[in-house]
Amino acid sequence: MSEVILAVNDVTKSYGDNKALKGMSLELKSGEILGLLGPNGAGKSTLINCICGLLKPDSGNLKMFDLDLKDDRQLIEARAKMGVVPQEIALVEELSAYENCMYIGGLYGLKGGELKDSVEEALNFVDLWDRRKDRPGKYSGGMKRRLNIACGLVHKPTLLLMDEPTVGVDPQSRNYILESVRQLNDEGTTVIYSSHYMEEVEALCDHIVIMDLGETVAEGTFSSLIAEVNDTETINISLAKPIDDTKVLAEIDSIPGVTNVENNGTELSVISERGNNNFNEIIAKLGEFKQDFTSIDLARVSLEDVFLDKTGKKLRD
Amino acid sequence: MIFHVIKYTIISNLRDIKSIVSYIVFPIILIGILGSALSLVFEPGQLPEIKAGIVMNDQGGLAEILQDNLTEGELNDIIAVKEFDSLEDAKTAIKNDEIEFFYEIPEGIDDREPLEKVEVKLWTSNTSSIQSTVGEIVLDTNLNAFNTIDALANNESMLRSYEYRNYIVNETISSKENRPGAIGFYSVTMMVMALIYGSAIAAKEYELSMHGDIGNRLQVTSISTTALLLAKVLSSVILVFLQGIIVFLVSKFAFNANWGDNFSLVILTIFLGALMSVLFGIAICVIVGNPERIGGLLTVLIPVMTFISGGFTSTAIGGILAKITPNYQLQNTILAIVYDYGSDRVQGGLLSIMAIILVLLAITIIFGRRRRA
Repeated sequence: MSEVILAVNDVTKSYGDNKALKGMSLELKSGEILGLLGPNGAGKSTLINCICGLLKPDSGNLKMFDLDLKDDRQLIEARAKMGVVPQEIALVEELSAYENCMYIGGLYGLKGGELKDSVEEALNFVDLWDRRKDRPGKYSGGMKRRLNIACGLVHKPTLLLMDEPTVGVDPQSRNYILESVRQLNDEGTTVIYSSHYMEEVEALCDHIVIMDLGETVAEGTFSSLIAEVNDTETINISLAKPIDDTKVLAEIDSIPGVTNVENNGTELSVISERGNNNFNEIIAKLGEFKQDFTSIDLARVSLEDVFLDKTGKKLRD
Repeated sequence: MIFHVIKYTIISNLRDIKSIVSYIVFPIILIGILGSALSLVFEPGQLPEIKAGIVMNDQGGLAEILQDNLTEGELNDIIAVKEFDSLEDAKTAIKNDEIEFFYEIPEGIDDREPLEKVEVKLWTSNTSSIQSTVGEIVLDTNLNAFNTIDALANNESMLRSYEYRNYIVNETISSKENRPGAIGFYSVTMMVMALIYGSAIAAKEYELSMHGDIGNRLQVTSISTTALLLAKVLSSVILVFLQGIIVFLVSKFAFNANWGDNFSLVILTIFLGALMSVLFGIAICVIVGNPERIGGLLTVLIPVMTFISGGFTSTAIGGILAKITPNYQLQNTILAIVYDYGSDRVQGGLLSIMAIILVLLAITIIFGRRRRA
């Protein structure tokens, strides 16, 4: 059984009257990628800032490897094992990529050859070693993001906190970053990945915490979250021509598991209970009535639907 | 880790061309511009030697006293009086532009009756000149004194002679050697302005270490906040001190500015100025609490503070406001060192700067703790 390396217990944080965190609790096991998913203002960044010690929580406990993160001395000890990739590009413009990594690496206590080797490794990891002498001003947005990541992992942290690391980057750089996170995780780094992009969280994370208004609205694996909120699936079929014989609709409706059939011209929607595996039967019925189709799509339930189900609003509202 | 932060802070600041131009090049350019343009304001005007003459028609004792008064003593420094044998010779000398004017001492001064008038004449060329005016003033002054004494002697039956006594105590305030010229003055005040610009550097470094994206990144590393802040203060002091030294060296060797003989004391004062300036910038940041705009604000305010403290005009124009600017005490202390205004003023100035440093340090610690709490 994996070791719990981070325990957040009933943490609250307010900014004046605004309660940013309302008793957040979670556990992170070694080797996991934990996804924090939620809209802007959900409290993701506040939680990450409380974990890395930039913010002091009003109440609750934070422990990493049995170190109390609310104690200044133990927090500094914990930080040596913790890497942070902030949402903003936090680079010194007057320093080259190499010097930026050297600067940050030195502040984690790395020195001499060990520091140089770590910087080389980090820059190679984000594929910027060949551009190490350039200053960030000469980089594209995606390259700056990658350098931002390199600075966060130069000291080879056990736990990497990534706060929306793909905001404002092109699809190619985003894919690169996601691949990098996977690779880091494969090499043993535990990751907390905050995002409001459900596709990223869905693709990356073993363990997902959906947040809204400073609290957890759902938590679990992707499949458990989906199963929790919806037990139906929708099959959308585009027909080659409108249905001639409405008898086909009654036939499809009678297939075990199908709960509803809707037809609008050449568009046919079949709602079915999840796990009935009646997909082939529906296709067969269309064939019996000579109804050709041009496309068929099984609409999957997404984390968006989970969020909608739990909060009554869309994730990107 | 403190030295690590100092190293990279200094490297990044030395590459910040915009700041270097604002904080070092700008004051150096101003030394050149103001030092040249306003040099006449600082240099005392040199009156050319005035060539004059005197014709003595009387060789009596009183006439000789009058002649001595018109031609000897300190007047020799500005008026060279040549004695002519005849009126015609003196007139010819004026026509030939050999002299500007001459005095004609009449006959019978000693032999005249009490209260009998005799006329001393001033002959000048028909082209009026400042030199002739000087001659007129000198003659007027002497005759007034002469007449007064003559009147007293007659009224009180005193002997018709008097002893010249100088009742004016003349004390030199400054000589040519220890009075700043334009280049010397602006070298000091612009160097002080460069030092005070250090408060903007300190504010920027405070912002970079305690706030903002880079500040957050630094604060989540293994360095403590106190060590980080200390490193930023030390790096700012080093940078500002270097700024001051660069302006000092450029003004000395490129503009040939006078920095006196006591370089070690000047450099110590530059260091204290750098420390004061850095603490001034950080104190403002901790008081205001939101340092985001403080650096930019200080960059605008510093030339204004230099102006009201007399850094541009040689006279403080802000009254009490001038005295509370960080420039005032610093530039006056350095001027006192360079131009040897006396050890009391130098010691007083240095003690005042150290007192200001302690006050700023106390403000920084007190407000800083409140902010962190």
